Amino acid sequence: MIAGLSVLSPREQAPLAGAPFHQWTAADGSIWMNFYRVSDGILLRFPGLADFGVAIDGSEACCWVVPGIDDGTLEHLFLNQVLPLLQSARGDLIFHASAVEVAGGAIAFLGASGRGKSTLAASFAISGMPFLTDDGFRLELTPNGYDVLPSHPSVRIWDDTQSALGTDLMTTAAPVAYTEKARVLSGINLPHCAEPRPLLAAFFLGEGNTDETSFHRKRGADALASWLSNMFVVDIKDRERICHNLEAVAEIAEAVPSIALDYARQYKDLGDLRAAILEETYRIRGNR
Amino acid sequence: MMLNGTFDIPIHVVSREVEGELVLLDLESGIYFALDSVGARIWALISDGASLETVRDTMLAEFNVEAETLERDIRTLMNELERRKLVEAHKS
Repeated sequence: MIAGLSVLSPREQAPLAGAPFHQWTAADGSIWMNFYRVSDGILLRFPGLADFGVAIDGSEACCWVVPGIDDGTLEHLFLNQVLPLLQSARGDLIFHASAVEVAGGAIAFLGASGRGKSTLAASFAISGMPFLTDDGFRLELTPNGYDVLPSHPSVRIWDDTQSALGTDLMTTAAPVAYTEKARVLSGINLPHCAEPRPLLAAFFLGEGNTDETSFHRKRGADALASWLSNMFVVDIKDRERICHNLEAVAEIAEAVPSIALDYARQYKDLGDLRAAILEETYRIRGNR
Repeated sequence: MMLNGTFDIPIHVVSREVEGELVLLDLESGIYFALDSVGARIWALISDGASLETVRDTMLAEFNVEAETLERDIRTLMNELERRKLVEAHKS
């Protein structure tokens, strides 16, 4: 049983009428999730894994796993993929990002799958700067700006990242059917921050085709497009909701320093990278 | 691309101005496209139904730029927007 989700009897994935109105693709180009419009909301289909029915207002969700898919996989899919979409449908501002606590606030790392969000979150946490979230980054408007809300206290990382960071000695959740990524649970060596923290800066991760670490301030339309491109949206064709999001995210892009960050993906350089990010964060904070 | 041609903004495209620039969103694909201040001005004129010729002449009066350079930039942008299905050539 997962809070907010009705789990129904397993069933095979029968073909659906019509084509999906939206799709998510994995880094290798394969279809990872299909969005179908159905009579009572939206159906999210993870091929070979599960179907989730979602009310258009995000008020409820149900699930049918494919026979043989285990509870851990269901929980993993729900927490990391479906729940952020539900929260988005309810009107929350949710992004593909991780966040860590530094300098009395939080910094966020935004980017597509494979850009290094989780590696950076785990790297900062192991170094004593707790992570708030690994993905499904949720922002809340406050009188003083935007707070980052904490989410599930776990980080999903690949085997080689675990070895490089030393997290392979930590507690992991049970393996899941669709990814070799492990979900490392927070603990004394991987601290999690369970309280909201004010967002100091957002770093948009580049592709890594570089030998040097670089920071470039994004402004105007570039900053707004970057935020929007990393947003969870359950119905991309919901014009009213999208226009509302455009307004809300434009305010975020104007209020929060948005930085393009690119760096060589070398585990051995993570210490220097953390130092450079901290220096940039303190510089930004000093200029505000 | 004819200079006297006009363009329509498809129903599936929404836009938002920020600091004099513009973000376009294609609701069909979910793709975002950012326009700088010059691109945003072109978009505004096109949205009002101006032909490329009118866009060129209007902007020549507003910007310190060579006519040839401006026309090339307008054509380049409109080709890109058309390729991305963010505008459609108007069919009378």
